[in-house]
Amino acid sequence: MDIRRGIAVSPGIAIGSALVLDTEGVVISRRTVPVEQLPTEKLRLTGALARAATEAHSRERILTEQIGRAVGILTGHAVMYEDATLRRDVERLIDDQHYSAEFAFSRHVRAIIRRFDDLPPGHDFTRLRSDFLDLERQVLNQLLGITPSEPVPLAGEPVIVLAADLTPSETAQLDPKTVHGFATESGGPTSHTAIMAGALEIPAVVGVGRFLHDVSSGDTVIVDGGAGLLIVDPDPATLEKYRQLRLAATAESGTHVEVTMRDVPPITRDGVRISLLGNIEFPGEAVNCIERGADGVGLYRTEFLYVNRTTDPTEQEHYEAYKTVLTTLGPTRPVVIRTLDIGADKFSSASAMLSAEKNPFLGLRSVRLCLKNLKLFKTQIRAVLRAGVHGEVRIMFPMVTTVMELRQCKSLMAEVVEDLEEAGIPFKARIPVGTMIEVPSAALMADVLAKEVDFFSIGTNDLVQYTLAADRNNENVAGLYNPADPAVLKLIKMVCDAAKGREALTVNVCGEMSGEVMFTPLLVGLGLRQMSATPRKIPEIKRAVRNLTVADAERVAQVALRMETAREVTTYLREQQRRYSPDAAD
Amino acid sequence: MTAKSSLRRSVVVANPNGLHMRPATRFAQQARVLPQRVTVTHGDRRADGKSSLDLLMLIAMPGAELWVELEGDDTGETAEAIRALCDILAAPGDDNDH
Repeated sequence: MDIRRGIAVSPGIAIGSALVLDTEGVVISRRTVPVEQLPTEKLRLTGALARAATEAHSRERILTEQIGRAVGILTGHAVMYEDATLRRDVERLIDDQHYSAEFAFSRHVRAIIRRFDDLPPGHDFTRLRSDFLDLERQVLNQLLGITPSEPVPLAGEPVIVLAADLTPSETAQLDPKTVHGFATESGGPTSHTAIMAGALEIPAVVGVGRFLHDVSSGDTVIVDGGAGLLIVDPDPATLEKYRQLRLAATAESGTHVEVTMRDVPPITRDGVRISLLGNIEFPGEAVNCIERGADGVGLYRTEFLYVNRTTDPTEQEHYEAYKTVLTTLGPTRPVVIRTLDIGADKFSSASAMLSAEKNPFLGLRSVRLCLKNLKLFKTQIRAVLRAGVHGEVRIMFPMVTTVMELRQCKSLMAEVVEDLEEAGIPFKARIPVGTMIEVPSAALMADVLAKEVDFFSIGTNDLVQYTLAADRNNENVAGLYNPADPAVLKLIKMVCDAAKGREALTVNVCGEMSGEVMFTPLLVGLGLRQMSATPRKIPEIKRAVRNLTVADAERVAQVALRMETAREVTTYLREQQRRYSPDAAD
Repeated sequence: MTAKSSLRRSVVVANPNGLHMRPATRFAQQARVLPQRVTVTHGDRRADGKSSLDLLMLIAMPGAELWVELEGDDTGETAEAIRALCDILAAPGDDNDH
């Protein structure tokens, strides 16, 4: 048994046989051909390039439909297959060296990649390496008659895909019905692969480091996407443990709970209505919220509009994405759009603004970055206001640290309102404004912030990280990162207390904490009447809410708030969970 | 009435990732529909503007000065065409679309 730790990017457990995708090794048997065959080789090349181009165009279309916006990378590949210079250079190799079409194309692409490899490390063009490997693979597949759906089978035994990295075409091809999980050697939490995995709800671990030489196709592997583990060749005890975990997970999020919980309201046993909202990243996920019986979208992350592209999104691109989500949710369900929440290194126009930061999580990111890049910020705000005519839109600013930042955001919004009025463009002027509470200073100043906004949303992931000063992806300190820590509970209570007596101010929790059923009684007991979680968790939370009374929940919160350590709180909440989620006690 | 012409314009790459896959793709797609020959030079490197591969191989980083040249029959819209091509290279991101 071999356990590897990587970066957890998409939760869930997958057990199955490994399918190793080898990005390097298509075997080319014929390197040279007789002279009389050269014209045939050139015709084969032309045909293969044309078919590869058609396929790339069609994959871009499918991907666009799937995730609700154009990515453009596969169009870039298609335009490359259609490139006259590329074809002429390869034809020359066929003519001069008597190479087969396969060998000539492969040689030429490898020469191009070497040019990029020779650039200084960290050079942006070195990222094109995987694109050219993808081009090579696609054209060789065409030439060798390997069907494009291979090597990932479309039907049959479920597999866990293991790869050095997944190229754009490969990622676009993954079918959740067959691919139950995947793990890659490289990649980071914000890579294209990671984002896709989350949207497709495929358990995934990336950035595992080199492991492919120790595993072969057919080996039994486990991907624990929540913990970020890849387990190769598990021993019987481990296998059994994970089978049980997967079974439990299927029972929780499986069709039974979903069907029974979808159409019943999230009301406690003593009649208090709790709003359950969904967190989404792509417009295409909005429908998941409806299917799981959510009351709206509590957190629409907009980062995907910015990453993995070389230009900033236009106002129209923002607008189209927001409009899709709003029209999916209908006229009455709220949609909370969070403005850009990433570091400057992640997207194009601002990346030139700063040299590498020594401490990026305490640096120029999120709303701080937007307030230094007003054009970018205004473009997004304009699109949100314009999209407001299509539904119940709300705007939320992330990582607000001081009340001054919040005031700046609001005055910027007022400017945008004036601009839109002057231009006579239809928009909704009065939309609810909220702030994330994810920095301890914001929680401590919640009573002041409360006067400025219509709602709070507690982002527990960052709040935990900043309160305990621990990065959960750093295994040396990950143990400190715990939402059950009494320090975190006190801050959450402070925020809820600040909202008391203000009828119009709603408080939401949108971090991973709200998706953990263990915390449901505690959060209700602290005073929360709204929670937002990944859509598939909603049926489970709804069931927990329906088993509660507010009086019980308040008692749980009082007991937990008196505890001194995260461990005590966790043990206590687990005990309580057995009472309120009867199925878990079986 | 057409006449042979050649028009050159210089432009500084503004995209923070340089002349990367997406701008190169856009440039080549737009250049391919023009009847003229399109050449882009970066120092002593030359690229066929209709080839996104050629454009990538210019390895033009942000701030690089490029020359765009259109040669061939003057369609009367050559100046407009070269301006549009230069705009792709000079764009820091997509321009606001209204």
